This record gives sequence, structure tokens and C-alpha cells, in this order.
Amino acid sequence: MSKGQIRIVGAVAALSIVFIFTAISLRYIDMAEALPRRNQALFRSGLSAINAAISSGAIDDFIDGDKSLLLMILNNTLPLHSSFNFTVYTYSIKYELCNVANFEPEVTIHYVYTSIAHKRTYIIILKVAVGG
Amino acid sequence: MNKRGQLVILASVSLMIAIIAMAAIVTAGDLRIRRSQEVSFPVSILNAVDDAPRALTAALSLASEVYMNTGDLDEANETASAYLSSWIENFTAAYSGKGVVAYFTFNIDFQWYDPEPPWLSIITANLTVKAEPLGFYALKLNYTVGLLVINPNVVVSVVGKKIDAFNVTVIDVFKNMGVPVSIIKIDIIKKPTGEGLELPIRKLHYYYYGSGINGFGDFIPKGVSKEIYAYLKYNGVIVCVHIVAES
Repeated sequence: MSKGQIRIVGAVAALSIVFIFTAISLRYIDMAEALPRRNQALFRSGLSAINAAISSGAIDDFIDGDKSLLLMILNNTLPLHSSFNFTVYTYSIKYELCNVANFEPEVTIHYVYTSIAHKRTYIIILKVAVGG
Repeated sequence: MNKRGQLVILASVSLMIAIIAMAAIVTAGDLRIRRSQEVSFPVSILNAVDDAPRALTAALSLASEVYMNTGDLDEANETASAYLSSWIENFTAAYSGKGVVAYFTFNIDFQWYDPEPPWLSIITANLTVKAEPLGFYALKLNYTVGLLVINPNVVVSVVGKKIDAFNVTVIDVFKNMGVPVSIIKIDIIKKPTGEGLELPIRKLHYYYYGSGINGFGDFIPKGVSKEIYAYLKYNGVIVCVHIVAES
């Protein structure tokens, strides 16, 4: 291999390294910005779903065994293709509603809810992921 | 270092370090922004402020039941206190590890048996939330929750001294609006035209006129009763009104 060829190979290798690391860095930057924004939007959607469920009485209905209103609220408030797990619990009782059995949640929201109808305080845990 | 290939490699390595440093700076900045947004979006504080009136309503509801059954204000207070303690436990459990602490101080007042209005079942409470990690050293909020009954309009027939009907205005103190009520029970104080005589409620008519005006009528047999105690309920909270008919 001549001197000129070695230089060309060295230059190509160097440029390749530059491109590879640039791509990796850009991807890293993109991930760092995009994920939190998505999580924030998802968090707000989750919180809206909880507030809608509380103000409509859907949680009281759910505790009484009627999940239809809560399911409608979750399906319409959370982003399309969301996987969710909605749990309401107190000391010894636990009520659970989910559309996918197992998934890795992107957002988990805890909320305390007092039911005047049941005269009890419950902890709500809503886990959400988009896509599942 | 006189070969061009080495120079390019050196340049590329420098550029790579610069890009990685830039990525680190951007990430650090982004994290700082995210943390500042967390400070401006404290769910635990919103949750406490949002749920406290419901917790106080439930506590007052349980306390008013106890007071109706026992007439013991201390026992009613203990019931409310136990309920609010369980709320604090749940709140602490929900936000454990986030450095958020909340507690209530409260006072309950029932004025049920005065012959003159207002009649009331009220809980006044002070909620303190300490959330130093979120920038709230001590957030203090005052709540007044309960029912207030005013403006009785008692219609009494002069002949026979019977109570035909009465209207009362019931106000939800927290919402500051008139509300309709349901009837828990009505106790009638009998007057002795016939001792031991059972006086069944003949027929109870209830009317809701709107704006919190609740009307009751045509429920006492003619010519025998002078006083009634009506136990009314809204949102689980019980209040009693004591109507005395004047001939």
C-alpha cells in the first residue's frame, strides 16, 4: 500500500468515526428531549382522566361494580393506543381495571380520592404507556 | 504529526469530544428545565387542595350520624378525627418518599335544637401541607364545609294549632349555594289531646322550589302537635331543624 492510499484510508476511517459519533450524539440529544415531553403530555392526560373520573362519579360507580363509565373516560382521555392500569385501593380492598395485562409504564400517577358516597378515602394509581 | 491522515483523525476525535460535551450540556439543561417544571406542577399539593373538601365532607357526614344517634359532641369529634387521621395516612402513603406532609386541625359545630334559625352542621378546618422539595415550606388553607339552614317559613293554621307546612333554605356552605335535601326522619312532639295516642305521619309532601328552598307539608294530624324535629341530609351531611308552631 502506497503512502497516498494509506492517507486516503486514514481519512475515510476518520470521517467514518466522525459520522458515527455524530449520529450517536444526535440520537442521544433527540432522546433526551423527546422522551420527557412525551411523558409530560402523557402525565397531563392521565391527570385529566383521573379528574374526569372523579368529577363524573365514575370511580364510585367502579367501586360499586360498574366499570363502563370509567372505561369510556380512560379510552377517550388517554392518547390513542395507550396501555393503562387503573387501580383504586384502600386498606384491604383493591379494584383494578386494565386494557393490557403486562406493560412497562411510561408514567405512574398517584392520587388520593375521598368518596363521599362510600365515606372512605382511596389511593388511585394510574399507570400508562403509549403503544404498550 | 506531519501526515494528513493523523491530522484528520485528531480533528475527528476533537469534534467527537465537542459533540459529546455539547450533548452533555444540552441534557443537563434539559434536566434543569424538567426539574423546574416539576416544581411548577406539584401534583401532591393540587391533590391535597382538591381532595380536602371531600375528606372534610366525609368526616362531617360520619360525625353528624354519630351526633344524631348519640347526641354526644365529643364522640362526633372523635369520629371525625379518626377519619381525618386515616386520610392523612393515605395521603402520606400516596406521596411517600417525596417529602410531602399534610395535617388537619378542625372544629365541628352542630346547632340543631334551637327553636330559632340558623341551624347548622359545620366543620371548619385548617389544612397544612409541607412540601419543601417542591418549594412549599408550609401551605396553609382554611376550609368551611357543611350545611346551613336559614329562613324558615312556617305556616301554621290558627285553628287547631297544627303545623301544616314549612319551608327552609338549605345552603351548602363550601359551595355557597342552595341545595335540595332528603329526609332522614321527622320527630313529632305530641301535645296531650290524647296521651299515648300514636300519631302516624299522615302523608309527607316534599317540594324543592330551587335556590335551596325546600318545602315540607301536610304531614301532621290535625290539632295535636306543636313541635317537630326534621333531620335533613345532603351529600351525607345531616342537619336537624327544630320548628315550633305558634298559635
